[in-house]
Amino acid sequence: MISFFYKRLFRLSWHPSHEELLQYLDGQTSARTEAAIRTHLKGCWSCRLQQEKVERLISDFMEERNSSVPKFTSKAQSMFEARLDRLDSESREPSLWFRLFESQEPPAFLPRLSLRLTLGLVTSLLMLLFLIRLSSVPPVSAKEILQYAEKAVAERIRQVPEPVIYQQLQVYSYYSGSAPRNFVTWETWTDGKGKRLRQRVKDAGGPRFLPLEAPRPASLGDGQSAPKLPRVLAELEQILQVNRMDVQRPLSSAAYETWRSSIQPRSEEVIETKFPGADKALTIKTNAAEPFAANSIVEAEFTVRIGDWHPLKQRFGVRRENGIQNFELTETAFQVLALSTLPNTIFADRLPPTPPGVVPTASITPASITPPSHAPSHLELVAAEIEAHYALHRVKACLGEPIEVVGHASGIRVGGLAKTEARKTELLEALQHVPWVVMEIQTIDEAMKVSSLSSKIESNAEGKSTDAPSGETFSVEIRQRRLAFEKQLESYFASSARFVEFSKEVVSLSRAALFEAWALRHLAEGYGQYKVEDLRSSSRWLLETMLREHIQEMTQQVAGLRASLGPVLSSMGIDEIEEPALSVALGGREAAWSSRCLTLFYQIKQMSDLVHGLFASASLTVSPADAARQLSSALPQLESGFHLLEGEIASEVSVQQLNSGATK
Amino acid sequence: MNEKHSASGELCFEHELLLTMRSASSVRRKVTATFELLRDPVHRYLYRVLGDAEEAEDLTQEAFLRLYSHLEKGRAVANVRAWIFQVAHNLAFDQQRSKSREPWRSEALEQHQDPAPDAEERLMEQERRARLQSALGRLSPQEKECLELRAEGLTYREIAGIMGMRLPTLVSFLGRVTKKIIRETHD
Repeated sequence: MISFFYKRLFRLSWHPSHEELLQYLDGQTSARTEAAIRTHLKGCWSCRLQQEKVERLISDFMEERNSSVPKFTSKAQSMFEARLDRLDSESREPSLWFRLFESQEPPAFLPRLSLRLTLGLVTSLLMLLFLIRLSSVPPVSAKEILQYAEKAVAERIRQVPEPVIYQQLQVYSYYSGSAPRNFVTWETWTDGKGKRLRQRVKDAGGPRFLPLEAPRPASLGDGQSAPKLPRVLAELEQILQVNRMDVQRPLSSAAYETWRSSIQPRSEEVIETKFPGADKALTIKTNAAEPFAANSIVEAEFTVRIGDWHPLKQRFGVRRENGIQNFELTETAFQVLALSTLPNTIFADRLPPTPPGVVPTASITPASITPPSHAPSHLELVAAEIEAHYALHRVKACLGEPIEVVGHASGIRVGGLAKTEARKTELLEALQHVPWVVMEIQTIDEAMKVSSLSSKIESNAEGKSTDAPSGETFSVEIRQRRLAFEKQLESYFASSARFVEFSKEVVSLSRAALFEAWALRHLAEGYGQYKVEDLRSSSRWLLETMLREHIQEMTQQVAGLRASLGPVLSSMGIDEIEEPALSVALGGREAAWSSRCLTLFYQIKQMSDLVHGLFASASLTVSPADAARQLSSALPQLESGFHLLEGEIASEVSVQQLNSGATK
Repeated sequence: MNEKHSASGELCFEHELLLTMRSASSVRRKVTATFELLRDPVHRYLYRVLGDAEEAEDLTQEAFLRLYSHLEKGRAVANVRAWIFQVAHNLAFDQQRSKSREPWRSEALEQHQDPAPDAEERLMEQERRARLQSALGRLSPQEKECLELRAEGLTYREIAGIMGMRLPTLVSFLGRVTKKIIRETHD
């Protein structure tokens, strides 16, 4: 009885949606849905009214449509027949070769050759063909190439326990006839077993990890894109989905084969090519046949290395509204890694943010971290320490916050003060996957309750006891003392408000660069003495990532300073000085990269002092004119320092060589 | 062969097309026969999208000549109607891109107004048409094309293929378009 009542209630409360009604009227629903809607319409006046409106729209539209279309003219009809005749006769015309061999008379232009000469020519030709055949690769079909490539990858995956596929791709997007427009470096770690995907992208917005996710939702084809995904990757994903290709492994033989087998008929060829870094490569060129739907791939190329059938590059042209859009994916690194060799942070992500107003409780406490049962080796401790640094780096705690990472014989201690409870939780969550870590992070309030030395704690919290720059937002009080160039600056900016704004901007940029340089210095002091070859590849990778990201940030900040200060200093008649403006003497370091980091830190500190002296009333050790000249020359000097450091990281720290070695 | 017939006793359109394609002995005959059957729908669609009768005629011819070239190369076509509309859609698209156009012209409608029996009815009819035309005028080219293809009798799946959409996307897209027109014409 109750069941019947609910059924009745449900049936009464259900109404077909507008889309369902439209599908029903168009005969595009399943028989079951059609029957359900038909029955419903009999009893529901409201839906009948809706149905009538749709039908009325259709009839009005069709009436309007049919009344306004002219007939296909007889002139056009005869023109079509003439064009068809011409096409028909052209297609029936025999080819040149056909005509040549069909003709009874020997062609006039062929000379009469003696039998001996003919035999000689034929023999030479055969020998030439034989030699060409020897030097070329055996003929192989596109299907075979794709099969070999798939087998080769499967074999590499099979050899590694709990495999994680790491792939680094350079993705370009451009329209035919134009230079590459969008570019992004895309790194993926695909955990085949757990179906987890970690992505890291690097574009104009700098390098960043994308949130950890399972395979992507299928809704991207509707024009939506995953959050924080660069545009070129969002477009690429949409195209891959529309063309039924694997979104997680776009440069793979399996993805290409899926697309290839979905287009019929097609023209296809396999050609031998040269690929930088690989001796010989084979490229499959596939053309889809018309008609082309929007967003469909019209032609594609897939390149594999001959030695091991490893996919190197893929390019495809897509029919878009503005013409043919090309996507080019070039692999720059590929590795099959064991999950255990990767840092835990790769597949760990921070918890979702807590709703505002709710004080988060730290779910991870020092006591809840269970260290592994065996005592850690020195290498494991160093790896854990670098992971801890990286975890703090991800939440930007390395930029002047009073948090320290200290390694002991039995584990890692991460201690310090967090400003708020929320920040403490964030730090604890970031560190929760790092092994052998004991966390001793307190909020200022907690520390003050424990200790009566509140003034000391406050002082520590503000970073005064260390050489770390303060994390507080800097405010410029220009009016306290007159600046050296205040008059000139005020006349340049026309208003004092704009001048204050400018000063705040340059001071803020110089301080931000100092924070980054300070973090860089800490890494150099911590790991400069290690031989990076002795570190685990995962540790090396994390170290490299942190160093590169700090350099990237500093590069942008110094470029910003140069763009802001350049016109102003130039208007004041300040010229660059000949000798290097920033001189720092350091020595005794073995690794060039760590020595360079320390040099850069002191140079940036000098640059920051100059900015503060000139634009924020801080004291100067040289005359204002000299300070302005030094500052003008310091910025390009710093930029070249960043370039040098990047080169040193590439040659001394980078895991790229390891990866590229693996791909060869 | 068991032939399918509509209620009026005429051969169903798709079936007739299939029979035509199968029975014609040469590619030329196949194309000519298909042209006879599909010329007007394709021309109507192109005219409605481009708003120019001459251009619509040119592109209609072009679409069928491409069918000839395609078949001549020994390639197969599984669904001729969807194929020809896909080519027409692509041609119209290229044409629209090369020139900035304002499709859905209103002159044609004004020339073809039916004489109404009395002035009041004529006025209401005119107002209703004007509303519809104004609503149609505000649609995007993609929305208009979807309606036109549906008006030509293409199935949702065929339209989705031509427009490069997934089927559920097309259903909600068409639903949104019709809802929009109903709202604007009934307000």
